[in-house]
Amino acid sequence: MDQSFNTALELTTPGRSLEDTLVRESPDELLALLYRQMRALAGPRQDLDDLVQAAAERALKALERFERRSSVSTFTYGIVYRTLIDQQRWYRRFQRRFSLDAREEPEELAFPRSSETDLRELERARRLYAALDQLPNEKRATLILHDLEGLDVADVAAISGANERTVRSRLRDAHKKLAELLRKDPLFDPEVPA
Amino acid sequence: MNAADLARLELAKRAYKATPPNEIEIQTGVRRARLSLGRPKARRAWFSKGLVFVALAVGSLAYAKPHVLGELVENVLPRADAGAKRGVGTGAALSLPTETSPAKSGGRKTPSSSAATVPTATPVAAPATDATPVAAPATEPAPAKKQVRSSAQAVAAPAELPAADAAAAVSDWGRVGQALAKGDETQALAALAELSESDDQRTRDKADLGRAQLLMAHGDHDEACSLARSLTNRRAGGRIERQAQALLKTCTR
Repeated sequence: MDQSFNTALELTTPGRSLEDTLVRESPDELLALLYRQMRALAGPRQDLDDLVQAAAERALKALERFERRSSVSTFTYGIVYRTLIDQQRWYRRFQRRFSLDAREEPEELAFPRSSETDLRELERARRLYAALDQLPNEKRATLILHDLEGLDVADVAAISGANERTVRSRLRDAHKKLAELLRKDPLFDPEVPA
Repeated sequence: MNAADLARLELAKRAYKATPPNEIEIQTGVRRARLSLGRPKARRAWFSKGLVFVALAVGSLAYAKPHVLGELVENVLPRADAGAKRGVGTGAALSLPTETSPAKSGGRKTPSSSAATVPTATPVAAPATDATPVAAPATEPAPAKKQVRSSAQAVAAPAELPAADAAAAVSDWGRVGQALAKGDETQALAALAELSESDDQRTRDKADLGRAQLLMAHGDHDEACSLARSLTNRRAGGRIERQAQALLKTCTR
């Protein structure tokens, strides 16, 4: 996903700071990386742009502190993760004080139109995101990072700032809850031919 | 998780992989993020704070001293380069026009001579009144070539001349200014009284206003109010009338 970005970083001259490289020479690559990561963690949603912008502001401020102990991708994933968790916490507090109009229709997930995308897969993805929305934020993010994005437990622990046991525990709980939700959905019945 | 659950999870992964963000979506998001980051937020915040501060300051001034704000807008800003300005505040400052015209002796002022002279505002500290802003009579810019002097120059110039010539050189307004500079209010009032008998209506109005302000600062409220009332009754007009009205407000207190 971010292979070209990492290749560009490897070409960075030693004397030049990472901030210079990312911000001045390839700011769009940094923003694209943040967008992809936020899209993966948050899913297709209406306020995705706002989340990306908030993450980008944080990333630009945090670049000075980046010591290259992890990969840039893990570093930016951490920022994206914290931005998303903070936003969801804020939104929960907001909902405690203000109730949204009950007549409002739930947001329609904005999937990109693609002729290659099978309609069945599209519908399945829509239901998957709906099921993921019912998981607690940390568990949802852990499951996405590990199972859907394919990161290993150590990376997920670094991103979420938790230890590996906590990550495994979250994964176990997330699997259990997601399996319960998918069991009720006939579209995820493995007996039905695709 | 049993085998069926693992199969469901596999289906979920496949569905997830089938709906990645396409390039157009990413580029749109990147462009929006870049635009958002490019906005100079800090400067805008500073600007809005400054704007609020200025609005509050002007609003407070307009509330506390409405006539000062009006005069500021009308007179001070267009004549930002005109030099000395009158003082405004609790400690009243009287500023009167002075002129130093060597060719002119102390005779009566005629309309033509009044127009040719250049009155320069001279801020001179006067006895403090009860927060009454005492300002100069309106001065009109001369249409001919002008010699604008600062107040220090205007007061100091006659002292440099020989004593006999100095008296002749100082005009009526100059004598008022000199008397005020020396703190001799009686002489200033006498000079103003002479100017009040001028043939020029405008000069008379200015002199009456000056007398009214000086008398008010001196504590002679009755006569000051009488002069101010006569100025408003005869429609002196413009800034002179406004300042007379401001004086009258203190009379009614």
